[in-house]
Amino acid sequence: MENLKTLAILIPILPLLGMLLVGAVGLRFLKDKSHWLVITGVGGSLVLACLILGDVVSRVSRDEAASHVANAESAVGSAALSKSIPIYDWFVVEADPAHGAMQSAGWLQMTFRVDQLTCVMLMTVLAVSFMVVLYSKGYMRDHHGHAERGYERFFAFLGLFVFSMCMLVLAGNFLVLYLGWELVGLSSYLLIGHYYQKPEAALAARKAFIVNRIGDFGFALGIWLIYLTFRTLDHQTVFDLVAGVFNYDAGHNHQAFESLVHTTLGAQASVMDFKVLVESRITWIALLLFCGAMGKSAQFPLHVWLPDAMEGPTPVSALIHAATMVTAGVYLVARCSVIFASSEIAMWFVAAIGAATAFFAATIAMTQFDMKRILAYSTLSQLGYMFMGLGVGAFDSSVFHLYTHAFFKACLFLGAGSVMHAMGGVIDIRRFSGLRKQMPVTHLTFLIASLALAGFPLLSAFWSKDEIIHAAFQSNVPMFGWIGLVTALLTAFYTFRMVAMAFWGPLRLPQGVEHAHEGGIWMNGPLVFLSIGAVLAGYVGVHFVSGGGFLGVFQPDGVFHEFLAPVIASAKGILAGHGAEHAGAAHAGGHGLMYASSGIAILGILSASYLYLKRPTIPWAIAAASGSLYRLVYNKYYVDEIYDAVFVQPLRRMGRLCFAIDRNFINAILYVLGNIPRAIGFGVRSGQQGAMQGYALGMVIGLVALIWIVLNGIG
Amino acid sequence: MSSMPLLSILLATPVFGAIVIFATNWDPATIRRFALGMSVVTLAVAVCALAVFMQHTGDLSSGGQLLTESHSWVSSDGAAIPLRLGYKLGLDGISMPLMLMTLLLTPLAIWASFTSIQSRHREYYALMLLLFGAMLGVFCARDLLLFYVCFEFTLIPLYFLIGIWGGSERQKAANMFFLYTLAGSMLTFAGVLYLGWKASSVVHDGARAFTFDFDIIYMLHAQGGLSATEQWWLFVAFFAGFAIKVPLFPFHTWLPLAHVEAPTAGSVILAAVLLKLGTYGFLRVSMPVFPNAAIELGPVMGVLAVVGVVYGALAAWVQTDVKRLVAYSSVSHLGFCLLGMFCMKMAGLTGSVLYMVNHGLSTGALFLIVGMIYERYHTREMDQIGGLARKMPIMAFFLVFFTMSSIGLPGLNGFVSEFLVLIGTFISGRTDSGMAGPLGVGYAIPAATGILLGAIYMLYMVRRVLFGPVKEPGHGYDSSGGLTQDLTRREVSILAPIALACIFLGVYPKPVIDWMEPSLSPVLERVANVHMEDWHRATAGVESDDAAYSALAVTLADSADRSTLDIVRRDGEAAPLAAPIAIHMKPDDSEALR
Repeated sequence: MENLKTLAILIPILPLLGMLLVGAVGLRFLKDKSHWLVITGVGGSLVLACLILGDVVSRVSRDEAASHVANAESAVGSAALSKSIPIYDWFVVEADPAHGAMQSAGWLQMTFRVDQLTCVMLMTVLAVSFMVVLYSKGYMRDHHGHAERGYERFFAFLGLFVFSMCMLVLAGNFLVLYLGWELVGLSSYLLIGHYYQKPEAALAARKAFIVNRIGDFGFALGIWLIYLTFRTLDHQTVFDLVAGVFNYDAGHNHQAFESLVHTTLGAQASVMDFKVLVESRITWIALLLFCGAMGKSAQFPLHVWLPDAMEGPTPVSALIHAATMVTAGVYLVARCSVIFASSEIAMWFVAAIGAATAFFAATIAMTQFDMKRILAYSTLSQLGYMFMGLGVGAFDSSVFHLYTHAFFKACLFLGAGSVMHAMGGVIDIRRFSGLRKQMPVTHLTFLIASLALAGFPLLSAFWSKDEIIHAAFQSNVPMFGWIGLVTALLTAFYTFRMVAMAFWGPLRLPQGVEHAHEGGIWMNGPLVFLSIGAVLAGYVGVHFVSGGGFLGVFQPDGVFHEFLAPVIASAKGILAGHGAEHAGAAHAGGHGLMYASSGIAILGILSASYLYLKRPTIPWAIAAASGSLYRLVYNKYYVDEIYDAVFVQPLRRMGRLCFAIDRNFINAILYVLGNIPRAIGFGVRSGQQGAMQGYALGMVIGLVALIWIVLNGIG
Repeated sequence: MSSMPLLSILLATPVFGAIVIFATNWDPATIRRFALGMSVVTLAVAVCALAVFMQHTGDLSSGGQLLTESHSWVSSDGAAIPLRLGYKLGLDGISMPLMLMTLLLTPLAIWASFTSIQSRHREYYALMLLLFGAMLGVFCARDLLLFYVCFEFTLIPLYFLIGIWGGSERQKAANMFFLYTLAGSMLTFAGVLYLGWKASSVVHDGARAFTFDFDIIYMLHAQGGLSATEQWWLFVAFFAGFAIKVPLFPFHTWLPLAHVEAPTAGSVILAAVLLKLGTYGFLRVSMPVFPNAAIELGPVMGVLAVVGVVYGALAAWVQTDVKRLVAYSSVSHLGFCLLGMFCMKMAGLTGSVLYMVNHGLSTGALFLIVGMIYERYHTREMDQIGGLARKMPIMAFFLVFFTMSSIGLPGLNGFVSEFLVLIGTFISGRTDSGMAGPLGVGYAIPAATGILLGAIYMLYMVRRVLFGPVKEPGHGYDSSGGLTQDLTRREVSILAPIALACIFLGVYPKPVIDWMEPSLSPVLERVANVHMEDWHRATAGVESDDAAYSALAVTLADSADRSTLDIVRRDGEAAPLAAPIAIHMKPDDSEALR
């Protein structure tokens, strides 16, 4: 426990120190060598995260060994994982006099929690962060190797982001989670606005923060409702209480649940009343928490900020707006899987929002020309997949997809950054093509990651995406599975549309660029690493069988799922109790789908390559023929415009009305009131001096009247 | 406890400084340095006081005060009911944090005036020091009359500060500010006198006296000295003074004008401290002395507070003058503050006091920054300045920092108080912790939109002022007075301590909360007592439970008047000193409440 606590404290502290040191010495002394501070901080955290993973794995395996010899007492190593690790008292929430002031339970503590899910998130976040920090060292410079303006600031904010993201995933209660949640929002705001002199960047930064705040408004209400219901914000206590309520009718362990209710809510609390209360509120709690997830993970209808966020530097887009921060919503739902699993409506809603976003974002991605925006819509779509998976109960598959997605999507973004760097800031795929010869490393890594995104067999996303689609087919609403398959086709198509237009075909460069340069070792190294991840990362989620699996060898559900299983066990239990047909784990015999989705991926890849290489006129003809439908999609379904007309402008008008009321109405009444005494008190001179006396006279009259009323009132 | 009259020294230091400045004929540089020096000396005295305070925080439990001083001032024993006016000082867990905030910000505001004030230095710095003393007096006073005198006296220096060193419409703003607040406090004065007169019904130390001692006034309610009707009228009378000061919607219209016209230091003091005098008054007088009325009028206060939160935020969003935008944000923030108070839960009250401090820090700092911009460009119109992050990166850092503090970013101070206020409002209606407050979810949800609207208008301002292409007035920045393009070292030293305080209160507010709780719980207990009394009275005469419930509901509206005579008789029956019960419930007594 102590070991875990020390590691858990150090992991966020190191990047924070990196940031503070950049502020303290980097800006003045190190200048364009400031990156070393942050690279060291993030690298150190990555090492510590490996240690923490090792610790957790050893605890779990020790327990397994102990359980094999049927010695239940010694099986306590992993029990510590589900407990919060208190760090210090933050602030106090409740100490009503009836409760006795200052009882220690009222203190809301800063708590961390280290379990299997935390480990997965930490490894993913820190591995990608480390790569992106290295890449940024090469990217944030011009061709002569001179640091860009704001270089130090950029690295400081990267450090801030890694700190915040670690806080988010390490949180042991909802309030610490909210802290990390808002701090990643701040980092995102600061980094999107890195090129703050560009009006678009400044607007995009603000939009990101505010749209996130809309989601967080719901999230905060959810946290308050949790507090109102459970009188605690500690993750595990809340989850245990929810699990207790929803397993009550089927459960055997009533006593443990009842004693937990009594320790949390007070000895006089009625267990049955509490059960009814929780049952009536659980859907609201889940939906409100999901509001936060929709904002952070940019799900429809709160998706509008993410494409605009591409105004930030490309490493930021790769790290924050593709690989890590935007997956925080997925993490939240997976973390609260017990709460969501307890409400069928909430589960359905999560799946529906995910499926809708997956599909609509994919359609928009087919029509865009800005490489980064295509990737942004692709991110939306992939996040949609993850939510669909969560909604149909395949929590582990969604986290698996989150993890594989981080590698290939970061690789794609960094590749796009490499192209942008070489093209002198041009990112429109209509303005260049055929880069494969001049940028071989970028081409190769981008191609591998694209294949992974397209769901090409045996690459990482193939395994994770297929699991989600499979689970969707097994759910109550097989429609989600079909949406998943269609979206997979669209995904393969738009990905290779982009690859074909940018990298293949005849060489064409934008004006003013004579030669496309590779970015050097600092940029290529991370690309290569991430592309290797895009190939291999999926294999922790499959295991090898001799005969009977996909291609005779592969069987889904590898060590990854086993590792995560304890975290989502109680959610799975509740779902099983509901009688909902859910899968995730039950993959046996589902290889037909794997072959089908392989076929779909290859079909999409080939058709896009063929159309955009051999028959580039056909897509234009289709676009022209579909007319208004194409314009609707191209303009992103006009969601921004609708929001502006429905919410923003009316609120602004209300603001103007408030200000007008202040100036004209309230002050006019005051003016009239102020002049009554003057009208009465004749002979008083006009002007400021007179008004003053008038007021004073009015006051005296009022005072006398009041005293008279009061005295008479009490007789 | 310390035998030194530390609080008197604390109050006397700035006043002494003001007198010296008036009496001498120094050159501006000396005056400036002397005024800053005196304010720092005051701070040093306060640090001594704080050291004593922290040694004895255990004595704070259940309503105690520390560093008390008590002297008789006027004492006429001839009449049937003798008049006893006292000079009584003391600090508790509510006033201490507010006083520390005042002590931190006032020297910084004086320091910030070094370049912005270019005329009549002698009067300016003397008035600032006088204002300083008066503000400290409000927080130290343990006597209602002394409280009121200091409360009112703050008007005079600020009136001149706005009227002489203000902007182009300074006369109008100063007059409006003065008359508006004076109008309210005249009614309050009537209430003060009436309360003093009623206090003579309390037998204390075996005698009765016409007095304004807070401790005696606090006994009034417990001894039934104020009927529900009286409480209602008195609440309204004090409301007039406090609500205008806060300012609570719809009495806020003087605030934007006063802020826009006031000099920077005036705005800082006005926003950070003077507005808090109103909220502090509600907490010090209205809630504990008129608990029945506070419960009865709680929903009205809640509605006004919530409307203020939303109204202020919307109005802030459409401003083009940065200073007016920040001023409207104060209207919104102070709504939160009152909401936390009238939810009558410990979380809300703690949050409310923290909110007073936090709003003082963040809004004070924002006004300082706006002043620094104004000194350079002589405009605050967002149409004329923009993209300043390029020209003034250090200023940009601080502006973003305090914006984040203001919009409640977790990890900074604003979040803790905002969260506590809202959670208190949420659980206000819940009865399972002994008593139900008058508010609830219906108030909390609309108020919570404030956290969204706050982000909208503040980031709107940040984007326009800091980001985008550089936009400056044609004449560029004004370098007179030794200003550089970005902040000078002096300006950084002014903002940095506030920033550190913001981080401290966001990350580790525990010490301050530890002070507050014991001082806030007597306030809550008084309110809880009202509930219990009504419960007993309602159940006493009624048979069925249903009837008891409905009787409870109407009791608040028409609880029976009790005459003074009745009280005297009650006192006669009880032990001569029912006082311990009145001042605070002892721990064993509060057991009975559960």
